[in-house]
Amino acid sequence: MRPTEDIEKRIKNVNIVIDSESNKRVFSNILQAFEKSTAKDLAPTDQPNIWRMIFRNPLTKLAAAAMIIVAISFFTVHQDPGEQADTTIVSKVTKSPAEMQATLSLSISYRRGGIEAVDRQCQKAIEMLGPRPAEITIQQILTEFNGT
Amino acid sequence: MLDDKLLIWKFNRGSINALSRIYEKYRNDLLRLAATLLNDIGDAEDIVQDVFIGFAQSAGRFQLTGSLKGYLATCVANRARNRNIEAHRRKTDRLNGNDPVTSNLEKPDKRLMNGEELRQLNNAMAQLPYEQREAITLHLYGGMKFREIGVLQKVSIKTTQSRYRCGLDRLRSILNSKVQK
Repeated sequence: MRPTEDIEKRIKNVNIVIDSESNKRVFSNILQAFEKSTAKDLAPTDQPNIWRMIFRNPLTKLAAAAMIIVAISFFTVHQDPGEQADTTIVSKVTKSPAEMQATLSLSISYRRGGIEAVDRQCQKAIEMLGPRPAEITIQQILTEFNGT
Repeated sequence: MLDDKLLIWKFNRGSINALSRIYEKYRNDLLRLAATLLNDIGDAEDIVQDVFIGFAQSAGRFQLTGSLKGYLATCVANRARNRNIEAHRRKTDRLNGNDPVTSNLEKPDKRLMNGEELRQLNNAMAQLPYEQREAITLHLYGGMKFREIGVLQKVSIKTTQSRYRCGLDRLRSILNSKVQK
């Protein structure tokens, strides 16, 4: 064996004997520090660590963003049920965009030229779109327009 | 190495068993390292306990980049160096005529039954320059590579190797001369 290896072996093989009682005491001190540290880690004050974990991984970041978008859209759809009830009433008065447009057009005509203008517009519409059932009169249209 | 990674993983999840295994695995080497660097068993015990307490406090966020033994050995070496500087400062103060601040408290229980072999080696080590002593103990007890020791001592790998070899030669001559007497 080379002298270098010999001295290395000699240093490595130096024995150290440890008293078990005081060793236990030292380990209990270490354990105390460990338990304090782990208890602190589990405390609710350290909740922001979850956010740090989410933002560290791009995949979890994306999932969190998707969740937020879904939550916001769900919230806005179901936010005010009162408003939704109002919209159903409106839909009872104005059934379709075509009807809304027709009533608006008739209303403008009436304001400009009175009942004659409305009659003229109806005649023009009949000419353009073809004949309508005879039972529908201007009065009926106006009644429908006024909602009564 | 893999075993250490697994132990650290369990340790970070609050396993007492993992902490106990780490302590049992590296305690002796770290104690020998500290005792050789400081030439004082009581101080060595204090330092090893402090290092393990610091390590235990990092549970949950400890990240291992190199070897665990190397990490713990570096902690012990840094603390030992600080304590040596402190002791040197106290000695200088005493020589300058300032009253040393002494504690009335007794040293903690000696849990090391200081064997004759360890005492002889410590005495021989104490005659080496601190850098050589550190290079030898970190390599043999801390299991650190010369490159890592070089980083710790802020010198090149060649200087570390040279310190190690010179230290061993000197140590051999000291120990052999004692045997011949």
